[in-house]
Amino acid sequence: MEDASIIELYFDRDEDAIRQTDIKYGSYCNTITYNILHDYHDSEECRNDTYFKLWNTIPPTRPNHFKAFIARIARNLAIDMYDKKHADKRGGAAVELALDELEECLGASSNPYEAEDQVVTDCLNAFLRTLSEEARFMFVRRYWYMDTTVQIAELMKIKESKVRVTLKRTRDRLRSFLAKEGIRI
Amino acid sequence: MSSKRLLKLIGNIDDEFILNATEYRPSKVRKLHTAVVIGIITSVACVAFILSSFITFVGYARTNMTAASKLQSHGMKTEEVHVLTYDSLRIDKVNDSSIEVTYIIDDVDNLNTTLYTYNNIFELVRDDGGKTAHVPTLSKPNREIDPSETKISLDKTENHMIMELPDDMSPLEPGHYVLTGYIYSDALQLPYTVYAEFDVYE
Repeated sequence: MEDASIIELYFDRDEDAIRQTDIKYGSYCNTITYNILHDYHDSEECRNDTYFKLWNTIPPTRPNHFKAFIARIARNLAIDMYDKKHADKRGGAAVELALDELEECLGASSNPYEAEDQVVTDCLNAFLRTLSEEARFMFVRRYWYMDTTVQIAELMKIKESKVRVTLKRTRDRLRSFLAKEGIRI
Repeated sequence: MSSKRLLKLIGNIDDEFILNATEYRPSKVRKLHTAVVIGIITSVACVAFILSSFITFVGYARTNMTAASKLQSHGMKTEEVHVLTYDSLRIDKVNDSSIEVTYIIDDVDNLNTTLYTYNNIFELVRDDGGKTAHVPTLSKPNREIDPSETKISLDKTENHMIMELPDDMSPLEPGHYVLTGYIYSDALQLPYTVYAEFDVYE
């Protein structure tokens, strides 16, 4: 079913909207949430929360890109769930590794005040546009979809070492970019 | 603020980045780059192949030019020259006044044609360049060769021949010698060269 038709089902308050969403994007949601949570039960729960949130958000919201809209909700919910479950401990999970890596991008700005969320988001969008298609793909797969470097290498059919090196350079560039823009996170 | 906030804010990036990252599609530029690299590699390989072919051809042509010029010097017209890859000339015995050789025809293609050698077209060269002489074919196992006979037909498989040494080279002095034979295929109108090397000891 086309995305527009599914959205119409939400607007009609037709419960088939959930079923159609699950048919079309269920596995996509699972991939995103499992990459963060690494637990099938939690992923399943997160996916159901995503549908629930979709149901409550549409209407009034009419997303331009339904797939990205679902993915964003699923990711945010998964990260929230991860935070709750790992409030007191740090492990070797994918999120922790990603956080460790992203630490490298912080603290370069001399601005004493934290930037607003929207300002940082705009800056991230601008930064992503400066990247090559290859580097951008790696960055988004690693820090948005929370793929491991091995998974990214398999997707791109390249060596993992190249992914690691490219991501390292991209993080360095992001650090410089944020500093240049005076963004303190 | 922390990396956790950055991770969450990365979640707010534009939809296009999220959607474009669902599947990796190398850009046209990348594809073009790959195509250019492949093209360059192919071109280099082609140039190398052409060069090696040219070098081989030059060597081939030089060898056969020798055969052609020898045959032309005996009144033959040679439009094309060919080197026998498989045929060989074997030195059987070196006598005081003659050399016994066997010309072995291995080239299957030649079995459908008649090969000839020309009396005194066989050439003996001493390795140090000191002496060169034509060595006429005197006989074959089945018959004697008339000295005035120039065109001598060869058998399809093996041809035992006795070459007469010129007076100024007989008996052969110690040294390294190369005997080159110039063979002609009537049917194919092609000249061939074969050669053998041998040593004479004190």
